[in-house]
Amino acid sequence: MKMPPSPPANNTVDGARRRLLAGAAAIATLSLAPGVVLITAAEAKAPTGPASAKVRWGLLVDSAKCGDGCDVCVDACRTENGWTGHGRPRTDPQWIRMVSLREPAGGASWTLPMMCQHCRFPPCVDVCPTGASFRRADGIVLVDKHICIGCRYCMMACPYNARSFVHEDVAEQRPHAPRGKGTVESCTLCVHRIDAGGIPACVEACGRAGGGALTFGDLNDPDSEIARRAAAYAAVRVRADLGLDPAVRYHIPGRAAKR
Amino acid sequence: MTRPRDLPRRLAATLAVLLLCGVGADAADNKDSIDGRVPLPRPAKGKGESCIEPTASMRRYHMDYLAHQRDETVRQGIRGRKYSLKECVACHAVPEPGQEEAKTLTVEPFCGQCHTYAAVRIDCFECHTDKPVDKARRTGWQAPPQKESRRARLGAHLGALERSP
Repeated sequence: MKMPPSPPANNTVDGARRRLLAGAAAIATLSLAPGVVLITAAEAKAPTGPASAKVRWGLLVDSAKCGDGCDVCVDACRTENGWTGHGRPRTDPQWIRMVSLREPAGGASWTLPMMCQHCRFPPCVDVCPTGASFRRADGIVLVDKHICIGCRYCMMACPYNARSFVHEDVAEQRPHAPRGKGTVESCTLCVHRIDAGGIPACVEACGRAGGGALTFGDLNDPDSEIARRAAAYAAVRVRADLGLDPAVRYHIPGRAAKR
Repeated sequence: MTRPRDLPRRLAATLAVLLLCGVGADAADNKDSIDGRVPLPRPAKGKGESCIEPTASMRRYHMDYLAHQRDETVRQGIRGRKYSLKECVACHAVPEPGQEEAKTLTVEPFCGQCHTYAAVRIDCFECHTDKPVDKARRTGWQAPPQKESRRARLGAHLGALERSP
């Protein structure tokens, strides 16, 4: 028989306390009635966060489902976060790009999206002189553009070439994705969506209009779809030899699963 | 020769005389100015009756409210607290003066007035958009046309070719 999972021991006290407090609040509200209704915190949307270190957000790319020539994820990211090029590939910002791989021996080829890998030990954070590059508690690596001085050390340090420097004036930014000349930027894993309980735009778009090759979820939760799939596929970390433990994992079809 | 100590006094006296004489037609015309030169700020009116804090404290402390909270939002992911630049924009983005019919809104007529007067450069909107959220959302991501439609277009194209002599 399957038992319902018992709540973690350290949560039970909190839970009981919360219920007690909720009860107390209800009694207080009742005693204030009739006629008089105090609306303060209830009306305003309750703040969310802070990001929890219990979760580690990650992406799994199943390149068996990643279609050749499809760039729906890139398109979705561009629209969601408002980064556009000026037709100058050397300096245009790029948060996500499609990469084609070819096995020289057999001739087999794959395409994969490549973006910030949200490393557990991010070299971009190590080298940042101002502390603008940082790793959030839930594993998302971000740039605090308020204090980024645009030195581009992080771009040098990143082995995935994931970061871009904004060389030109920016207009028409998205409200949730501020971008400005003179700062470095990269994939945020759509942190604004995650904080609202959603999934990244690329994952949504790939599921809707692409091959459904992207899975988003909590790598720390062994029951999550991403964790189960990553284990089943023995998904690889790109440049695993560097020991950075990226949160973006790749499934390459036909590749022997090594345990 | 004027001693340096007298200089400010002399300048003040000159200024007073000039002001009394109403020097400069601008000064006489410009009733919206304290010193006759710099026009007083006239921030555009925002939506609603009042701001989230009393006007006086918003004027004095808005930058502190925002700066404190932005760090918590960016670094810890705490969202939905009381102060937010998005909320500022939601109420204070208005059409450019003289272009009330314009579709694009901007906070310049609100923020720009005092910031120009005080000569304090505002950097927020170098990176943040000054368009309200719903306005910007309208151009959000749409699913690209599916293969069917491409095929349909191709079919129509080929059909047209066949029909033409």
